[in-house]
Amino acid sequence: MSLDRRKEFEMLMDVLGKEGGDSEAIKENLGASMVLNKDEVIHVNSTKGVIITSEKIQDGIKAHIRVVDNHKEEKPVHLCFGMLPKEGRQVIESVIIIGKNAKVKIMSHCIFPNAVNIEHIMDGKLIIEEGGELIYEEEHFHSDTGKIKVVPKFEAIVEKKAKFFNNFYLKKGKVGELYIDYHVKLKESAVTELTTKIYGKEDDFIETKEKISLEGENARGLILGRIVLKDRAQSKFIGITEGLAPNTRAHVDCTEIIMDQAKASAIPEIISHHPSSKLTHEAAIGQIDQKQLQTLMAKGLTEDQAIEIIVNGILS
Amino acid sequence: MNLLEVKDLSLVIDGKTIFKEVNFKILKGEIHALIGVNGCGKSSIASVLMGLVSPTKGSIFLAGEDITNLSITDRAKRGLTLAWQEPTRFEGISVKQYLELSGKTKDMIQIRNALNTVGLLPSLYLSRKVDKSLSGGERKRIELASVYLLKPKIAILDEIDSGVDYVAIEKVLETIKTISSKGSVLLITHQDEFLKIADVATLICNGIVLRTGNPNEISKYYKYECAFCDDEERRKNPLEEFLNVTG
Repeated sequence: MSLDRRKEFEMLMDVLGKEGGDSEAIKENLGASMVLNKDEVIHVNSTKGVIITSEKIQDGIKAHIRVVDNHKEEKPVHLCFGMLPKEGRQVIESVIIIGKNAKVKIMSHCIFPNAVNIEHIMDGKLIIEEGGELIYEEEHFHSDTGKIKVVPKFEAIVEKKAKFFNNFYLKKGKVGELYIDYHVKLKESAVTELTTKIYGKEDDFIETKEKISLEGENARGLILGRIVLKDRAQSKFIGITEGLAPNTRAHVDCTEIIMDQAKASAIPEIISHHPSSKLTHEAAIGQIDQKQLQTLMAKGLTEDQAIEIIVNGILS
Repeated sequence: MNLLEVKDLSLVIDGKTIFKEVNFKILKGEIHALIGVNGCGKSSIASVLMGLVSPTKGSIFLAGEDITNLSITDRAKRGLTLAWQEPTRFEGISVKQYLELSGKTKDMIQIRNALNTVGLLPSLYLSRKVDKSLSGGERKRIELASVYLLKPKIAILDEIDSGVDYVAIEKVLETIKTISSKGSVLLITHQDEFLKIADVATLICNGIVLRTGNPNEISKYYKYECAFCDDEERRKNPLEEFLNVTG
């Protein structure tokens, strides 16, 4: 590794460590990992069961991650997608294939500590083969200022009896503009849970569109959204479930807390093509629960302290 | 010494009198029961005492200090707390976290002790969330453990018994006695077992204090008294009057 790349690597690991990420696991090669600064791969480590390769594309990379059949990766796979420059565009196209009966947890850390004007685009194709399991956890660490546009998008195919759990967290720093677009297609007896937790502040704009298509019999899905907005932040939450096969179940659960001049909307769409498909939704938008606030204040906490605890709980 | 003194407290909402000219005092170490039938204004009095609602008239003194216009937080900082009739749930907050912030302590010995005191096994409850997964009775006992850790001067316990199962009632009663050994308790209740541990009782009916006195005496006929709360003459022999009315 060149001196510049070593320096970039250290800087990204330093930010990741300070934000609570497991930078040691990457530095010590304790599992499979990949580190990217803007459009350059500065670190990559594959293991026996998790093979990571990449190729350069315009403004970014195309990453291939393959977990071999029947392999259970003990340690999480760490992907660190960072941008140290203040400005620029980063495009990551990923193809992730989880082999038959394989199991893995991927932790994706997106770090933009110096962002002034940055665009971060992720476009993924995920295939979880029969009996496989993928937990994909994406956490963003943004600066408190600057203009960031984040576009996470993927299409996932979850094969027979496979499981896919996706968690997206953006709780620290400024969101900027965020456009989430997820579509999960579930085959027979497949399961998915899509969880999104976001804290919007100032003039942040958040749009999340998550769709689950229940294509196989007995498939199960859950879309869970927790969004807290303050100042002038705005959010639009769209949760779509589509029942296309017998005995399928899906639920959309969205809670949005708004403070100050923030605005929020929640749009559930339920499409059923089969009488035995059961699709439900619940959405709540409102201010912080007054009784929760008063309960904590009756223990001596100030209103601001109580709000912080309630918000942290919702987003935890 | 009066730890809490309520003087001529009244609450009118949208022209409707919720309670009127309520007066009572609570001494240090006392368990003071506030009794009365549903809807007579007991929980509304608790809300005004804690500062959730401002009174229309009257004053509240805590250890001699007028706290009538203080915020909820400032009242709590001075040693007043309230356990709600139906405690709220918190998404994403564990029992351990909840008790830590309640008692402002991270001392696990104290936190475990508080759970044991209310009859909940720490190994089963510390990592559970204070959310919808808890039953009503479990949530009540966690709230009581939280009050126990706070060591308040005055704990207002609003129907702390409701939803608590028969086996756990003894633990709850013991906890209330322990809390009162360090401060005082205002106990809002309907249950005879709970009235038995009270030192004093105040009977409320239609928002008016009928009398304050011995809890055993008051508990005997209070339901019948409340049937005639606007007729002082008939209240003198409430059971007789009640039997006359019902035949």
